[in-house]
Amino acid sequence: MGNWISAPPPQKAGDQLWLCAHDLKGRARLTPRAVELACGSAVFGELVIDGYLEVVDGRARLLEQGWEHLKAPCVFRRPAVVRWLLERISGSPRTVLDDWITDIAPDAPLWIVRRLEKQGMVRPVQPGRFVFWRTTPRYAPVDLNAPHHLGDHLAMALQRRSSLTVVDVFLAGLLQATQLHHKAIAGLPHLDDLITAELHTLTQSTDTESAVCERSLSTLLTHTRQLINTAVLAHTL
Amino acid sequence: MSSPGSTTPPRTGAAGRTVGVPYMALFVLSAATPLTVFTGIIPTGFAQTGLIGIPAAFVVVGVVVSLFFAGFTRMAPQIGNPGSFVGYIAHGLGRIAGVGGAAVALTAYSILLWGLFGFVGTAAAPLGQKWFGWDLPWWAYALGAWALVGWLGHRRVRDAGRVVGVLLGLEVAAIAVCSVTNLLNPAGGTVTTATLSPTNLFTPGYGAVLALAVIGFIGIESVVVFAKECDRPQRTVPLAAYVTIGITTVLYAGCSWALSVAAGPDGIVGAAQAHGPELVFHLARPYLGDAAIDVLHLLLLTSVLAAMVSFHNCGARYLLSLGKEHVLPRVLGRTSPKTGAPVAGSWVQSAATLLVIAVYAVLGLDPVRFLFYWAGASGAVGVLLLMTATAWSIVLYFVRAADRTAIRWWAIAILAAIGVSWVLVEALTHFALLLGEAPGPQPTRIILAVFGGVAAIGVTWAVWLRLTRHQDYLAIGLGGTREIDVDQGEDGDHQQGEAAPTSSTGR
Repeated sequence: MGNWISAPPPQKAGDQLWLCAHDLKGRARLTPRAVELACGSAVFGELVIDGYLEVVDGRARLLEQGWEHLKAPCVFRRPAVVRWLLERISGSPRTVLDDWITDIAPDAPLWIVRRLEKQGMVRPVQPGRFVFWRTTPRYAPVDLNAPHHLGDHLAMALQRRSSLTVVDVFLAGLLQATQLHHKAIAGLPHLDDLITAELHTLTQSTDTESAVCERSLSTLLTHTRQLINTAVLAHTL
Repeated sequence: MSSPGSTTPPRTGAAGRTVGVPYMALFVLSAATPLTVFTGIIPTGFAQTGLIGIPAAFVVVGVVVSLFFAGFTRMAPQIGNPGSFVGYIAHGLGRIAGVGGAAVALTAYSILLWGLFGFVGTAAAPLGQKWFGWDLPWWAYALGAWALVGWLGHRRVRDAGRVVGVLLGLEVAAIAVCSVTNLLNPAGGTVTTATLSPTNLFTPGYGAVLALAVIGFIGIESVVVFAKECDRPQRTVPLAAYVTIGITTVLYAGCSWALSVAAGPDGIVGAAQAHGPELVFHLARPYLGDAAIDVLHLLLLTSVLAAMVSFHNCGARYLLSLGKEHVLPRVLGRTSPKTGAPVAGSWVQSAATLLVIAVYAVLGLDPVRFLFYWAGASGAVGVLLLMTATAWSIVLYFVRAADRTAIRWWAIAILAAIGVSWVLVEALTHFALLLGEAPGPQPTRIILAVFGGVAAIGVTWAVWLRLTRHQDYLAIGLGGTREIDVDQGEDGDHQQGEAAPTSSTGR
């Protein structure tokens, strides 16, 4: 019964978000466009959290660590997604954040799910013989608790008002932007206010190093929310 | 996806989902639901006003609306929530006026929605009687439509949009067939262009038909919401707006002219008064046969339903924006994660609509005249008020951004503002005629009192927000993207005066 093998909780923001945004059968709990935009933003956020990027004046800019990553010799035949993205961002410094998010959004869920598959956290589920309208497999979490990990963790942390990491706050902001927070983080009164208060702390940091990361994530969340709002109003979500 | 290792810049717009001019035009036109205008508004307009200049009115209003949308699409990229007039008013005339405008917009679009429920019985009753032998009151059909629209309001809007798009194609085809039939069978055997002549438009009371023509163009403002969803928005969005305005103008001017040709310029008013919304079917029946008329009735029913869904979504999205901006309770800013639909706003719209249907049913008022037509006329005036405020907001915005605005945009914006104001003044002056009532100032006073009162409530609320919840006040007109402008102030494109939404950020 491979389904019952427990895997360690994922660490990457994109992984956690993807698992939270899908149910046990691998069906999305959001609209496809919302999944794409949230995953695109999460992938971008990972680059910020890992110290490769910062966001200044609505544009992405490579930090020293990002340049070092690019200068390092490429050991794989195909460059990794991180390297590929950093190369593109370094080549288009004038491009605004919205364009980057919408550009990587269609591919981002696939990048994340492949990473999760390599880690053994999801398994492909082929469509049934009579499900002729769907030809591509769904990916279902191996650990049956995986879709609830993030929500439960955030609920507990928000309730105690402690132990929220930058990644946690970023993910809570993404859940709020996609309106999944009411479903994922159950049982907390004034949830919007709690998350908004935590998001506000991202812009309050005085530590120079973490301030760059936190302000960049805050900006990233704001632009993600704007893109989702625009898609809602344009009927394209 | 670009090849790995390349330094390919990102595709602009929503990659892989870029929408083009045809999609935008289809989206906007589907909201206009032309068959409802063709069978409902145009014949009733001929009947109530007694004027024959409706085809020419569509052409004149088309020109004015084109001028208006030149400045509108030019200003759109600077607006946090460009899909509604409210963001423009907030940026141009200030946040307080913006909330007043939001109140007027909500009222106007709700009134337009309610009016359609007065018409759905007329559209559905002939089919219900012929196919099922039902002899139901109008409100029974209205309640059925109410349930369907409420359900669709919670569905994924993209799915509803596809259905509406297919129906739009059928509607346009039906209008084309009817119009060609009318032109091939003119009254007295002569095709005359009398109703297209300006001399037949500019007769006493012409403001009433100008206001009616405005109804045909409602909804085109939503074209700018695609600015972030399309390639080269500076070019694509205005082009989509002009294509839509062009199609709308030709379609409505053409079909109303063909109608007047079939009934004759001298007989169109009498025929419209005699047959009402059935005029189109009455003229087409001898040539197209009963089966085709049944199909037309069915398409009219779907057209009315599509219009209802469109106005329902429009109102729900106004509530969504105001909820996200914290002007109204935040719960209204919620969307369903699974469908993206503004669920709370949709519930509010449904509840208000149910109340209106109940009041009209209990009082036993004529649903076509006192609900459909009166609401259509009142809603049109409300939208005209909004367009006028928006047009002057655009002028003010261009004045503030004088260093970045070419002189031709000033000229276009001022011409559009004067044009829209002229249509509004004429419509208000002849509002009694628009309602089919005896001439007098009373209806104008009432409609101004209604919209003025609603605007005053909005203004008062905005002043209250300014005094008590300043952060929420600063976010008015930003469409729920408050952090970009209020907290961080990073996009430096919106340098404006004190009154405008982004001014106080000091960017």
